[in-house]
Amino acid sequence: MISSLVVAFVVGGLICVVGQFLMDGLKLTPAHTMSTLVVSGSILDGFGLYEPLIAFAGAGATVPITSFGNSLTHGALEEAEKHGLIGVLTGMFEVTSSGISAAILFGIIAAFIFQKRNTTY
Amino acid sequence: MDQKQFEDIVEKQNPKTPMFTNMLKAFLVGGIICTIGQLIIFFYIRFFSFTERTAANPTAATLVFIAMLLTGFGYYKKISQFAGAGSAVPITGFGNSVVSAAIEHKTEGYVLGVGGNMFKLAGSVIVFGVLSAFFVALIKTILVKIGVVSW
Amino acid sequence: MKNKWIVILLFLTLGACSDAPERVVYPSDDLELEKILDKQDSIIGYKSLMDNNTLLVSIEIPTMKRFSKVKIEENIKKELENEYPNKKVIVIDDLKIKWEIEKIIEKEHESKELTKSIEKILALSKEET
Repeated sequence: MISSLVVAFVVGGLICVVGQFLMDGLKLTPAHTMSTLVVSGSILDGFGLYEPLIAFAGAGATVPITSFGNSLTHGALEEAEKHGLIGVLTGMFEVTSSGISAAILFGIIAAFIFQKRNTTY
Repeated sequence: MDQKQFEDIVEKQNPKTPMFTNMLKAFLVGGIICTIGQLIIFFYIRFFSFTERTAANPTAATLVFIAMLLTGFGYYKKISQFAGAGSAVPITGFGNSVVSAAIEHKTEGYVLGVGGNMFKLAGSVIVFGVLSAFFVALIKTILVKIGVVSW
Repeated sequence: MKNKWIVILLFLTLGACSDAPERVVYPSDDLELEKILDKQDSIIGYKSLMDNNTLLVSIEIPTMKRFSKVKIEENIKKELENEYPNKKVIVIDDLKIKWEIEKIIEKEHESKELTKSIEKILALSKEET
């Protein structure tokens, strides 16, 4: 168990370093950086590399935003395997939903509870 | 204005970021967030009927919830000023951008303000995630159909 | 800066409460199964349950080999299927499954209950999202 915590720390940290490099080194805006990471997660899953990474690093691979692209692609691929090409369309959100639905739900709850501050968040 | 003056102005506009320190900070904070994620995964496996495979979903939701609290109380901004990508890349950063946009536009009403602007910052992630997932899955499905690769 | 290290240390110590990998076969009269699992060098521990129809093995793969988790699971599964052709064989590396198996072994279920609890675990392992 302790080893999986260490691996999660290192792998998750490294993915964030890649993000920081895209921001600082290649001067991308945060939105571009996030989109790039999501796309790379999706492509990695296309090559079947992201699932082994999850098996290896656990939360180190599922918590960064790259896993978002992975799970979208993974849902699409799984459906495509069952139903052919049409599954690509229908399967996409099959696996991903929790992150997005949580964000929507908690976003609305936050809008209820919290007041706007002078600082931007 | 000669070349040197121009370069000076550019230099002032883009202050040199200490790249190595920033990366180290991103590594530490991002790593810590993922470690917390792993602890939450252990929690869900231990006390609920989730396996290692399924526990990632409630963990994502929990992390977004934590991000909501931190954003609402104004701590997330401080963290992200320190950590840069370290706090933006994990799913908490996604949650933060949604929640902050929701709070920010609360005054414009719940439908137009909150509903309309919630994905202002996070929308690009979803759009390009779906787009690339579509193409990757499409290409792979076609490749499988013509027998180049297998699932 | 100091606080950060305290937090990191805290996580590390929290994570330390885990036990060494074990090798358990239940019911324990099957020496053949133990032999097969013992000679697998890609795993460090295993726990297995068996009833009349099913053979359920939870394996523990060392962290650095977990990249090829699916392959290792499949290899061991194939080997076991050769040995037990009329049983449904499930080989899986998962903390939850391992813990559930431990619980069942502790309770020393009899054959009927054993089948029931194995079915429960199977349902768990099939869930995908």
